[in-house]
Amino acid sequence: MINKKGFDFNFSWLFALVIGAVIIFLAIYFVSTYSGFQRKSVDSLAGKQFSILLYPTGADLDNDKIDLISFPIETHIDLKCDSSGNFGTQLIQTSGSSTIGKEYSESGIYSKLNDRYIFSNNQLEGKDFLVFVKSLNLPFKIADVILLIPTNKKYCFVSSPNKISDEIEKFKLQNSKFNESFFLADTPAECPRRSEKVCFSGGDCETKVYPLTGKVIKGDKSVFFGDLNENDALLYGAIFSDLDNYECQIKRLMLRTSAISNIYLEKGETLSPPSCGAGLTSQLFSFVNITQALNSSLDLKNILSLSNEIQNKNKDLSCPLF
Amino acid sequence: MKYKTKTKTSPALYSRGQLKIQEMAFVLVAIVIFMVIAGLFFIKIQMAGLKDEVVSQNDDKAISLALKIASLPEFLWSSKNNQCDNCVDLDKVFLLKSSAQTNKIYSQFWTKDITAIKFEVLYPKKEGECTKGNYPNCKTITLLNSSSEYSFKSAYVSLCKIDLEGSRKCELGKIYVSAKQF
Repeated sequence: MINKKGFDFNFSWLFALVIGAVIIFLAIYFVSTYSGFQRKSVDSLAGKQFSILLYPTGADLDNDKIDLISFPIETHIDLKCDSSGNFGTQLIQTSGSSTIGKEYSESGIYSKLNDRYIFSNNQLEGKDFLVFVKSLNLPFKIADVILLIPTNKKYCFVSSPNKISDEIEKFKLQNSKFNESFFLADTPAECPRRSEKVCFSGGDCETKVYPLTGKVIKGDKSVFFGDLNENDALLYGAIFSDLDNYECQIKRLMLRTSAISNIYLEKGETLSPPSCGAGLTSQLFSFVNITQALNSSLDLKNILSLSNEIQNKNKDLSCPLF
Repeated sequence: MKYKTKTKTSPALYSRGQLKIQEMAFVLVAIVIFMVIAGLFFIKIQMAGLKDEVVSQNDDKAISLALKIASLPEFLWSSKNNQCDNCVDLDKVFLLKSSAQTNKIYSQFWTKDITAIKFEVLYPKKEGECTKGNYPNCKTITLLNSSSEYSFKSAYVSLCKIDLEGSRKCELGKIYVSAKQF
């Protein structure tokens, strides 16, 4: 077939066009599928490595010390808490930003961890994240509370008690990123713009802390954290978390408390010399049950009171159980 | 005007120029082959170093993980009046193994990545796996044993318990951990 301009559009041309189109389509299809698979695999691996970095005890993250975890690119972290089962589960998913397709793929596989308790907002985005770990003792060591904050988020603590402001000052000296993200002020008006204000004596703030009643209020939700002077881990947890996440993590922590208390109960009854831990059995038995039955953070009041009772009784023993 | 046509008078197959080009080509090929072999040799040496470094880093990570596991509150020697670093409460470890109730609760606790956890008393010398009959005069407590393939990494710990007089008594021991990522 020859057209007027002398262009010969024969079967070879038609065949070449069709085959060319098929080859190009297949190439694009395989590249996009492969890149999606690669993205999922990279995101899942990053999530796994991130969860390993957050191993609460040991050399990587120390108590009362600020650490910085940096991702090579802007990363979205999705944190979920599930309180079902004997210990509940912390789920972590990370997805790196990409210029191709959706910004965050959200297709990475969730890493499931039974022994980590991350107090933070459920969705985090950023390249650098501040992490600090606080030990929770009720009265023996239960777990490490991990606080995770993106450096692009700013917090301003208004009229904070000396214990908190001294600690914030100490962290500010330890890490320059922390210094840029945390501020201390006497009134909400002194806080930098776009910072989340945390008031310790009322006022117009996003988060209100009432140290005397042991409550933290955000919007119309409130949670209980207990006594600031005895255990500040839960206070920080309530400040930096979404409150539904806080409630779930408290439930998980109490399940762990119940399991560890049960070990001490059995240790006192069966393995230790008869004089060790004598008289703690009934309190430990109650402790195992009330920690397991916790419904909301408000139940912490009774738990903390029984924990103090066990601690004082253990301290007076000639052969303490823990 | 007449042109003289150059005719081959020499019986040789190739002209001198062609031979020179061939020589040059062979030299170039030889240089390229030499460079490739040298490059491969260099890469192999580099990779061997890198492999050793990766193995060493993995070992460090594994030992660190073993120590982290030993520091779990379930194993940790917990006493506010009597602090002890890297000390494991042998009674708690034994209960985690021997108590049916505790064992049932903790069956869901260990992540699938960790395939085995074992504690061993190194000194004083003892023998056998710990049971209710021979504890504490035994050598090993195997807590977890969920795979047939093991790659154990270990770290030194102090294995402590309260003796009959009510004071803490520690023995030199090791924690062995096997994980999928090793």
